[in-house]
Amino acid sequence: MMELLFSGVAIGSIYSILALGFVLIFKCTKVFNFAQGTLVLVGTYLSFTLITDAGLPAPLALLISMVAGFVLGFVIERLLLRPMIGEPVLSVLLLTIGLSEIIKAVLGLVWGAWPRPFPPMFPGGSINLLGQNIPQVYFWAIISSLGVFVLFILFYRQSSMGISMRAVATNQDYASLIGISVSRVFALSWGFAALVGAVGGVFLASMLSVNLNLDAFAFRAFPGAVLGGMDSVGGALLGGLAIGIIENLAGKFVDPLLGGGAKEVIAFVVMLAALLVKPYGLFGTEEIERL
Amino acid sequence: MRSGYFKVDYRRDRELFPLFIERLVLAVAVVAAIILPLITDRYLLHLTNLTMIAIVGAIGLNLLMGYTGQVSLGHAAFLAIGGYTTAIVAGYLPQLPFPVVILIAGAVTSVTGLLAAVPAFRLKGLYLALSTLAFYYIVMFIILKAEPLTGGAMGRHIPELNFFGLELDGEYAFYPVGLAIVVLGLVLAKNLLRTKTGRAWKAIRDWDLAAEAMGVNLRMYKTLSFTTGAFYAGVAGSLYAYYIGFISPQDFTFTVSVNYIAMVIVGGMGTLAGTVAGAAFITMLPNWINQLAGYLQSLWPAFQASTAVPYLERLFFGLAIVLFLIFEPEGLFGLWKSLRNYLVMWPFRY
Amino acid sequence: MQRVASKWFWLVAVLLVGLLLAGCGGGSGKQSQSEGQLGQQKEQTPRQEVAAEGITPDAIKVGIVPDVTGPTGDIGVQSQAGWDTYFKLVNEQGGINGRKLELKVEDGQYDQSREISLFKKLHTQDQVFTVVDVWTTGANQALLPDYIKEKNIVFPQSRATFMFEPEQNPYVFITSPPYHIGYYAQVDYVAKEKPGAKIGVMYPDNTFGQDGFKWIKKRAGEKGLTVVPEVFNLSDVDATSQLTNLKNAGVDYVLLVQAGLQGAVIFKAADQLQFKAPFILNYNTTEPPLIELAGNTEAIKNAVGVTFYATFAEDVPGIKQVEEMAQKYGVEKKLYYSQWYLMTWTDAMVFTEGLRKAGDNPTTDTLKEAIESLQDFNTGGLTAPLSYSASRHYGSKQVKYVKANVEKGYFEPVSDWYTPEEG
Repeated sequence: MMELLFSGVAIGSIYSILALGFVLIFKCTKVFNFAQGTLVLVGTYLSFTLITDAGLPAPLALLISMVAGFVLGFVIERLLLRPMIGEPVLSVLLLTIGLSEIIKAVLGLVWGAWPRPFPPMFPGGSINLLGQNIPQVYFWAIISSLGVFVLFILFYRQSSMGISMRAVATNQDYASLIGISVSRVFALSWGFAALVGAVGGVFLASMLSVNLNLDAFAFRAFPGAVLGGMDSVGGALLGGLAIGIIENLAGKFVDPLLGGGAKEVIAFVVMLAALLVKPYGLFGTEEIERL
Repeated sequence: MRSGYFKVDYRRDRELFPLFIERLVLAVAVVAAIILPLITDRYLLHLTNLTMIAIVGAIGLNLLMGYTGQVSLGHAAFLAIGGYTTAIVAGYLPQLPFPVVILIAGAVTSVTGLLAAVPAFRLKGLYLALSTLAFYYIVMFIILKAEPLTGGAMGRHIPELNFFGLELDGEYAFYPVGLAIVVLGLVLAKNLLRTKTGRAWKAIRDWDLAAEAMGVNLRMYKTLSFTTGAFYAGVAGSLYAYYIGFISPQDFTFTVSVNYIAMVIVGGMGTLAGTVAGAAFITMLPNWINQLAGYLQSLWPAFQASTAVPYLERLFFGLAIVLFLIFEPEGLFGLWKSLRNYLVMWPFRY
Repeated sequence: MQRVASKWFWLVAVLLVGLLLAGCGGGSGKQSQSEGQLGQQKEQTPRQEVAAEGITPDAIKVGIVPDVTGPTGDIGVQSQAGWDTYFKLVNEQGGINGRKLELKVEDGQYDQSREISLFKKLHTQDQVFTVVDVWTTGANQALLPDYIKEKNIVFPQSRATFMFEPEQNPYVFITSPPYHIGYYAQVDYVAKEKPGAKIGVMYPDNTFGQDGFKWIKKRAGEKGLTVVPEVFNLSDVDATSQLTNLKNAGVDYVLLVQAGLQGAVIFKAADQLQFKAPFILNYNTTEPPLIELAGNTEAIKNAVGVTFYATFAEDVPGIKQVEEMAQKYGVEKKLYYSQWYLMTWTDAMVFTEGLRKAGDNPTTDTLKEAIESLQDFNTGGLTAPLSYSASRHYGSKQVKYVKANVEKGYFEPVSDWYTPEEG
């Protein structure tokens, strides 16, 4: 039972980082980014190449790919999202689907379909925590995801840029009236999302391997983002963790009843339930439309 | 002297094909449809058949997405339900004529469309899209688990098209069947859109609150849109099952949903003629890219066609979605409209 | 809006016209080809020995539909390289009765409906003699009627047993045993080591996995073993919940029915849980990259695997030839160092041997008879000697047990060829 909880928390913390990517963009720009999974891939492949081909130490490689991810997110916003301002929300959603196809195709052309083992970033073996053996990767995944969340919560609370981003999230018109550059906030949001994606991707690849299908895991992080509330940073953390734990519990209790496979679908059942009962998630802001 | 093509009275508005050039294109299309099986080989006819199946499914998605403004990321689930209903019904009652089976598949799928519409009572836009995504995964899970009926992951064989004892098999036999259903589907949709229902859908798409204020019953018309869209998808899934002869969950991946969305966008949201073009474009794209790559390789031997082709295909696919959304939101139909207006007004620019 | 549209109208139009031209260009090329073929058929003079589609006086065109870029693309390119390199070898030695082999590859991308389309394309547009390899089990299943209609000889990548009933599927062949023999071997190993043991089975919830589980359950029943099923899907990231269930059930061995590198995820979780029951690997998982990915886990060191082909640890003439030819034609190690490469390599051996024996004017029917007449065909130790007959379309019934050599990064045999008897 405890093993299940621990591995659930570890997988969940990766889901939270992936969910954070959705939230960061949605919070300020109200765009639901279907390409988040492929942004994760970009960061993963970059750090992989930097470590194995360029021989850089892992932390430096991760740092560089985070910066590169940030730049990429920024550029995507400028080139593709900027012309779509004012278009229906759904057109923008569909645009990000197209974007994810493009990114994946380019990655495939450059790196090919070959899955490769990710160079070990963490010492092998396990750490003993609360009487449980936890693999090092899991331990560091939990620690870094907590770190990332603390940083972002502080950023939104304390820094002036963070506060102006929250202002844009609350009301774009008023924010621009008081002199906040909405376009810069938009671009920054995309940059941050891609940066966070690189972190999540590196952990995911360390547990599995570097391959072009890793973006499918971002799909399984959707429910986390929805459950927590699409525009709540803290919600993404709790939502992601909850999904990780629920999946493992479903594996234990539901699988024997249905003959297996419940892990894959339980998150979506939870998401549908959340959408029907509390559409804006546990901590999300309700959208009210006035005539 | 007129300065463009405008519908200035209701008679004009009711006409299906008001312009000479449109009637011309229609005539060409009819002739092409008749002589096509005579001049193509089996492979191109096979692609044409797949295109026709895609057209039927894409009409359904366009009614939902282009005309009512409700995005569905779960279209593949409707196709799957149609396909599996066909497999089950035709499997247990092989003597049933196929039009009946197809209608049953469509009807069953529209009932599940009713279920998918329930979240639409409360949700809209993005959140509704996410609920259809969840719907998709849950339906596929149920299909996987309902093994005695669906064959689970092992899939199911479908008997050949049975028309009162006459068995139809192969590309040439399927073509007239598919063509008849496509024409029927287009005519039905076109006429449905000219009724009160069609106008209500467009009103919901343009602004749901305003539509409600004008007395459009949102629940009823959204549900109607979901069931109609699901009906078309069910028919498409049924045709697919008959045509391929074997289905398994692998036939209805999420990529299938994305492909249908791309068909609607590339063709033009909210246009039926565009849907036909979009379905053809997306279905034929792999073939074109393949030939393009073969050509590139003959020019430039270092080019690794076999490994690059699929990525090039996805690249064009993504680019088509992105470029059309940014520059021509009306899709191929928008391009045609510009061309049509240019031809109608020629030699003047406006 | 209107201005923007008109400005970009031409750009998009040019792009589309370019695509259409590419399509039409290909289309017209195909047109002339099919006309040419019609002309040939009309002549039908005994002047040239053009007996079957895809056979010209100096070439035999053969198609394959592997997965190059899909989710199983890593092993798909290995299987493609096997065909490709063996055909190169045959062509260099003078080809088949004076004809060169031409390989036409179409990427099926692990997408059933695409594979079916490509099969039809290869037959109608490229006019191949036969499509010798189609990737997914689903596509093979859907194409079974077409194999008969086209008289298409195929060595499907999927070894699912139901395809090898010669009365129903007269044109389907393989060199290895069908999957069920491998599953029998997995069960037999446990039955011998610990009679009456309780075995866990971890399989994915798809065609392949359910088929495997069915056979294991059948064999375990015959051998008096208890089975505990657990689903572990190809997309699962973590095996903790499944392994906990198996641990609580108190299983003695865990039989894997997995594909690709998913085993590594299981082994990592097993080490974390200090899961002691040894793993018995199925044919598709005993691949060198698995050892690399599983790292230095106890689970991989204790695992025993089943293989249908020789391993690279063995010093047999077949392996030597594979390595020499790979070097000669510049095939990278990551391509040929694999069972999938050995699989298509031996498929190609049998296919070309059959073609040689089928005479100067081979048709797929004479080829079928030629393959069925092969007895004790020597593959240089890559497999046990292969024998076919009109009622048996798989060449061998023998498997080997292997263990991982973690230092060297390959599997090495711990037994000789073993034949699980049919129950």
